[in-house]
Amino acid sequence: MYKYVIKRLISMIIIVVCAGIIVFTLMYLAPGDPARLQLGQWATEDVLAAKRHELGIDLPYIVQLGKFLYNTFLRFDFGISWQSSMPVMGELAVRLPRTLMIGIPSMILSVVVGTVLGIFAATHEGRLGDSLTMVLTMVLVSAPDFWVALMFIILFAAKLGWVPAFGIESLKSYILPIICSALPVMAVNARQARSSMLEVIRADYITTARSKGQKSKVIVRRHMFPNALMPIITGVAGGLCKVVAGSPVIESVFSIPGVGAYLLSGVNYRDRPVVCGCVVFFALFTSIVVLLMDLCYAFLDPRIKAQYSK
Amino acid sequence: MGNQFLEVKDLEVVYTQNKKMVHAVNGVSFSLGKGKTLGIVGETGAGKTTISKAIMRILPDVGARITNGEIYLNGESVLDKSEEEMLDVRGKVVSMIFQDPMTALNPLMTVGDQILEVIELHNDCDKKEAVKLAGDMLEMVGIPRVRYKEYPHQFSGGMKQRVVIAMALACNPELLLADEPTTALDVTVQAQVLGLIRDLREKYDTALILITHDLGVVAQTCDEVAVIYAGQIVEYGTKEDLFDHPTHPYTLGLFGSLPGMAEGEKRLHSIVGLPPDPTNLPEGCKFWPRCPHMTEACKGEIPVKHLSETHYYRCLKDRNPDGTFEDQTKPGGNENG
Repeated sequence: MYKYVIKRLISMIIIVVCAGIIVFTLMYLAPGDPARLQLGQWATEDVLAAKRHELGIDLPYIVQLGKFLYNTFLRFDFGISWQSSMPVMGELAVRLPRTLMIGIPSMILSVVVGTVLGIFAATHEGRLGDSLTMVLTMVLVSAPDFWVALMFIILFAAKLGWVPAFGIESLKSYILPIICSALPVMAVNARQARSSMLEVIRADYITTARSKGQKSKVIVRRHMFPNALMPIITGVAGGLCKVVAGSPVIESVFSIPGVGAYLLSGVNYRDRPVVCGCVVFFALFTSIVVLLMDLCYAFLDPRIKAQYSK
Repeated sequence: MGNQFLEVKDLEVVYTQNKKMVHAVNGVSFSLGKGKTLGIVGETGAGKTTISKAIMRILPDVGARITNGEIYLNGESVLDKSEEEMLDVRGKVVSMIFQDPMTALNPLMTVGDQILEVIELHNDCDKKEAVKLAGDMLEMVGIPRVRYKEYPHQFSGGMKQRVVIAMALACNPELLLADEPTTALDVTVQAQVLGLIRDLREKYDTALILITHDLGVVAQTCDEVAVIYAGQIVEYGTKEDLFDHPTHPYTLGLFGSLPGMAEGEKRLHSIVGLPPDPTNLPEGCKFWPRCPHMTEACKGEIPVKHLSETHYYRCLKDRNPDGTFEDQTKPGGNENG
């Protein structure tokens, strides 16, 4: 088991470094001159050249890449934003809590409500409750999130005035963004939970459990749910990966200065340190989450555990 | 009859599948005395498993319905019991061994805990005692106690079936339903498992319904035999009745398809055709499309004919004392092809 974890940690480092190289190269190749984007259309060639030298983008690709890798992975320094001249690391540290304020509650909401809805639908298969749940989740999966967000703003902020329409002044202003980012994920989780529960309901060992005289509630809890948990965990992990990245759309619509909005503005200004810093951070977080997910599998399923310890 | 341990009367079960009615069991009646063994023989899809699941009332909630009939266990009507009352019947009075040991165990629970579950449900004892009992059950079916904490994937098929048997017998049930307990196992393990069931049954005087399509297994184990075709009992009798005087053309077909070792036959006989589509059963006798003695009248009402107190069959034809039918065709399997 320890061997497996160490193996995974090593491959994780390789993956994150690769992600860094790829995003750096893409940003290097991206059209648009960062110097001109900053100084404006009327800057003279001399000024532009000086700026390029200052940013270090007049050096050859391989030198720039080497510097980037050295700073990022050995000194853990994401550099300074070209646009705002602020350290990327510091900016991420300021913005991350806001993104997490939306991401974590929305994830908990979507996992709990989604899973419960899915189990409800599966145990009422073919009945009204099931059909209603499936229609509702279908609508939520297909509705574009920016549209849902706008509709919510019109209804709850503009018409009813229950919550602010944008900003981060009070805790109340987080309510709409949390719900808006939770809804589609919740719908996906519900459908996933339903289908994996249905698969398990038909399993022979459920008939065995019934033939023992076990109460159906206990059967759901003890036999069905743990067996249906694998795909549900996969869904949860997928949602968790997105938590730190935030949603550029939701953050833009609600004017929340979070990580998603930061990445979006970084892309718009060809702000390489910002984009690379964000992506490396996401990659690191995602691979940690995936590793934890795999360890969860092993914890839940003795068959997978047996595979790992080989 | 009248006050037998188990009585099933006119049982009918229908599955609804994609808006189609599947007539799985069509008026099955039989009874079983305490400690006796009944073999239910028939092809795949004849409704054997459905009958046993109906007795335990563990048919799937969605789509399966008992449309007619009565089931009495110890004189009490099973179908009139509430779900809560059934919880005390399942696992304690009646328990079941399933066909496929590979999938009958929960892969995420240790085998010991799965046996423990049924003991804790029906025995009033503390956890420690129950764990010890579960360990005893494992040893009884020939699995060392130290493997209590292992998971099903660490067991072979035969071992898993032993665990399922241990689970089924853990609370000394009065009736054991064994649904093709040996089908998924290879022949040597088959013999072991059958021997195990027989020994345990004798020890606890448990009544047994053995569902199988293996006539050899029936000959070894059963007191009475019901041959079932398309959800109906086509012939019923004691083992001697059935094996010495098989009468219904389907039963004869089954016996005809056994390999005859003595005569050095090259080809196996088989019954022509396939079992009928249960969504669209033939009128009258369900077997007529495959029957060598078929006449127009077979599509009408079919009487049940008693050959003796214990032996009856469902066919228009009368059997002559010499074993031939009234139209002089010789009974037996049809030549295939």
